[in-house]
Amino acid sequence: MKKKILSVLCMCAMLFSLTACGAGSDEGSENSGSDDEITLRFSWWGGDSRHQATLDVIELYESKHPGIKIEAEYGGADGYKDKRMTEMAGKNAPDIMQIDAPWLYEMQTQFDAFADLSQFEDVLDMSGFDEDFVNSHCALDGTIYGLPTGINGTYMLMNTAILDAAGIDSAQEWTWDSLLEDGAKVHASDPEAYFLNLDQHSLTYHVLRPYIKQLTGEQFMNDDYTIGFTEEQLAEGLTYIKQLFDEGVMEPASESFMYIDAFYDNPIWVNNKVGADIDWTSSLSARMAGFADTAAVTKVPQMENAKDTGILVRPAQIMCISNTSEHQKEAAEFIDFFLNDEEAISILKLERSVPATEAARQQLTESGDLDEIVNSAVNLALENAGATENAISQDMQLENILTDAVENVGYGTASPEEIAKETYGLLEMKLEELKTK
Amino acid sequence: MSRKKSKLGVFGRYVFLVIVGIVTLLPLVWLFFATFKTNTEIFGSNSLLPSHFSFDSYIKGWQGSGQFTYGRFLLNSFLLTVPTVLFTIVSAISVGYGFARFNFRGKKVLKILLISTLMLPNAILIVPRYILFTELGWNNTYLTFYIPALLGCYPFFTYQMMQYFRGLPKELDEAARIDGCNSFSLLTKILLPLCKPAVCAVGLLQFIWIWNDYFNVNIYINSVSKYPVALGLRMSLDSQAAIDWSPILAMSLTAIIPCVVLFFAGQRYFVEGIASTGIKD
Repeated sequence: MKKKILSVLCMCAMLFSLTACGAGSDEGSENSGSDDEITLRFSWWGGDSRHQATLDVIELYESKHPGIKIEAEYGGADGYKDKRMTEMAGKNAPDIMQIDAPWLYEMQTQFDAFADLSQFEDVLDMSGFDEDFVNSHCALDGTIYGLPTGINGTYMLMNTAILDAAGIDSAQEWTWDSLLEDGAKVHASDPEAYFLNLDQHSLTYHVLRPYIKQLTGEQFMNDDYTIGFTEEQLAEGLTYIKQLFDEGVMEPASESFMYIDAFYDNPIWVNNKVGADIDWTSSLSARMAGFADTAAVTKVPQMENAKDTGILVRPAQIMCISNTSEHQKEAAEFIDFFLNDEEAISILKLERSVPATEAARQQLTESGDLDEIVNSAVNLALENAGATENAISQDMQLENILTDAVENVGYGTASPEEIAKETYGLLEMKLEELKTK
Repeated sequence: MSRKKSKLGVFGRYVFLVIVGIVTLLPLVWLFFATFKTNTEIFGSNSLLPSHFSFDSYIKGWQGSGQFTYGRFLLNSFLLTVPTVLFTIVSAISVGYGFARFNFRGKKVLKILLISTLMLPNAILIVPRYILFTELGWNNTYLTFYIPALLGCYPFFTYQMMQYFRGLPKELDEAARIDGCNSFSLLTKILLPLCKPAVCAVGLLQFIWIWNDYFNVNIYINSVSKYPVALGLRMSLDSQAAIDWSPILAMSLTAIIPCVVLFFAGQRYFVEGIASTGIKD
């Protein structure tokens, strides 16, 4: 009997606490959802300065549009994609989202996450954006789901002080062969210095991939889930990477591969003992901060008779509207302001890389905010851009297999030919798996 | 002779302990000194001591990025953690007590269910929970932590309490009943005072886990105004931008302090509680 009373009491206590808390939260949501004020959620990732600039633009927008409140949801890059995917599964995604262009395909096919932007053409001006660029990176099957915040391209950044000290002509037309030949001189003249500093990811993405694409001139992976290169061509690319280590162009893998995704934290980079790196323009100003006076940019090295430059151009990020948003039109108006308004552009500057519209670039050049080097790096990439990559070429699982191969080459576990053979088999297996999915 | 030998043994033991102590503490010491260093010093030099001491990074870090200071994030962390810990203690005690001392129909099945939820990885629960919380309108509130804690969704602690209760001699219950205790006063007057170490262990562990939790708060909390410290610390960590590390490290150190204080305050009970939960006679 007593037991029963106790259990009933416990139940009551729990129910009471449930309802009490529930009531509290209801009040909260009523306040934010009142009729006269529209609240838009806007999420992005970034660093301190991007947060501040974006918040300033939001404040400006709110002052110009009374009745609209923009709730900023910002944070670091870590876990950002997980969170958005969970929200999309729960149909509770923010109205306006900054996403990375390669996520578009996955999120749209899996969750039908984004709204078609062309239906808002009367409030969202897309005329300033390059049509091909938007169509190839922010659209699926001809439907535009996002607009680029900026342009991101690949290029080679050099520290001319290091190159001059080793007697290397930095103004030359760089080829993979000259990189190998001249690059060795840096380490030869200063045992602490190296010509090229990359980690295993960037070495795969910015050396192996362009090298192979210049050999083949084809897509890296074909749309029919076959590999766009032969085993011999892969072996050739891996042999080249082995030479980079053997000739002392790069710091030994045991050191340089410790700085995964952060080769600019490598002491040789921090202490200005590096001649060059190859990476995206979006992080250029941060990476050249230590040697801004002697920095120079050039295009990604080319081989003779290259069939494709292998140089990539893509949006820094893209701005999308949630398909489940109740205020899509207001969201579109905000995106229009965010990307096209002169005041907004002058606040945001290069926080999301070099702007994608010609008008914004013009404006920032005139105001002196568009750094000469950053601008020339973007132009180099734009002028020499190779074929746009298809979706399958950007698959992360395939990329990881290649990264493993590069690691094995770096650590010298087997000959490049053996590694190429094994890797080729793994790629075929993974493609087969992706195809049947 | 034997005394000399044992002295030597003691000396050897101390040397060993000191070395292990240094190795364990080194990361913390490094963190402390790194808060005074510039990025170039952090990555470019191996020296432990910074070239100069100044509290700029603490001031800069405290201001946070964007709209809120770390005062807000720390307060949020307390608002999130303290009730969650209290609710966890209440639910762990009541459910653990029930399993340890009562016989009821379906006890075995329920116990197996409890243990099996203990085995379930948290990542699997995220999406169903998120959808449930969205339906209930709880997202972006701390209810997403309070309610699961209240309903015993931290089976590890329930299990821990259950084991501890089982370790207490049943004779105590019988004596208490003869003296006129009912089940509830038996729990509050007799068993709970004996459980102090276990309760402290539950509280401490849960405090540290919730305080340091990143994944769950990242998923459930949207508004920056409700961010706890764990989210606040990662706010400026962009993969592409250059990160000014010293303010972040300074705030990391600040965020550790509550946990360290709590641990040292309750350390005696903590160790005792962990060590004795497994004992049964």
